Amino acid sequence: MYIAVASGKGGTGKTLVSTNLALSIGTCTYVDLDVEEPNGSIFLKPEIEEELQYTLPVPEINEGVCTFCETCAKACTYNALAIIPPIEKAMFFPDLCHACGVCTYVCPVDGALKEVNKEIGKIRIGRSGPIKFVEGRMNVGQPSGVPLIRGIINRYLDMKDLLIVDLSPGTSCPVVEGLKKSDYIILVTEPTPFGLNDLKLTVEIVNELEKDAGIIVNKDNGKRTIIDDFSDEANIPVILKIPYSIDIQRAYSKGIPLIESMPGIKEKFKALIGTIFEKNEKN
Amino acid sequence: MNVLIAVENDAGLDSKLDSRFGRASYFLIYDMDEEKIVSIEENKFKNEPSGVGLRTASFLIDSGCKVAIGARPGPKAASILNAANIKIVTVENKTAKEAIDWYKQNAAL
Repeated sequence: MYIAVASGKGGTGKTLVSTNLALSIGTCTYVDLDVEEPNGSIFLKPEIEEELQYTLPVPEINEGVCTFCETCAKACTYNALAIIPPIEKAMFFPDLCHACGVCTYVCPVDGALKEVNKEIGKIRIGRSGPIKFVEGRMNVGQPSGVPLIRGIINRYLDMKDLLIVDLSPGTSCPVVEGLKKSDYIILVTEPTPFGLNDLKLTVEIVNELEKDAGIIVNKDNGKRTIIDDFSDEANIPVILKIPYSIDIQRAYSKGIPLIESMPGIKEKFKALIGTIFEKNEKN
Repeated sequence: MNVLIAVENDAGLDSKLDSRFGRASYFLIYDMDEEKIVSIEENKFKNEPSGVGLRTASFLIDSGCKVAIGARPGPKAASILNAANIKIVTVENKTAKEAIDWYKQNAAL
């Protein structure tokens, strides 16, 4: 089962929730898909068994063989190729390239255009006790984390495992990619106007994708909040509330997991997974 | 010698320069020797999501213009124009006519 942990607003507690869920369950796979700034490893302290390059095929033009017919440039939907016949120059712009392969396919001249592998990020695989650990880390300067996220989901995860997938904040393409194959989405928020605003945006995506979801309110103040009101309106249940506590924050800042700094939370997380499994079975 | 001017509309020499280069609405091609407009074309790549400056630069090169007048092109378009030895003249807040006059006076730069 693929449980995605999303939020909308950053800093609400996705990594807090996802790492501690994984620690509470034990036999599961924690996946860090916040490829621009993966941080789950700080808390799970995994032993890394494999570190792999993730590459995409991109074009390389041999100007000596190229006839500057411009077929590739005209075929490229993303305008990543510029061919200048008057000065016999072929230019490739890697950050516009989507690695679709059309240019290689249409080039009429043997040997003029070949595919080469360009590294866009790294994948680390390891273990933290019983927890399997998979992390994506995008190379600095890459324009999009989406290809790496997609690559990890399609090739490096066993969909038969219980996957706890830590996503990046926000509501754009990397998050959507991480939500597509989810069976259940945990939405982590905080009882503030910013938290609610971005939660609403994320819920729009959840509904568009027609996924089952539940809200965890972190840094809760113990009273009924604007999140509870929204939960009723949107018909998405609040499944857990984690209190606002300086002690939890202090422990977190030292890399101490919540299950160690907050008694009773481990049982609550386990119960949560039980409920999510039941719901999923019913569907 | 022909120059290309990135303008806002198709009103001709009275058109104001577009605030953008690659995504300018129209391109006015002017013959500096004969002192007349060669053509005014709509920028059909204007609304593509990315790489528009590259399309504009290719269009410029195909048109045979030696000078590009208007807003500053972005780095990708600029790299193509530089490779093709096309002179980039950055001017703002002028009409096409004023930009041409300014270029004539400052051509040495």
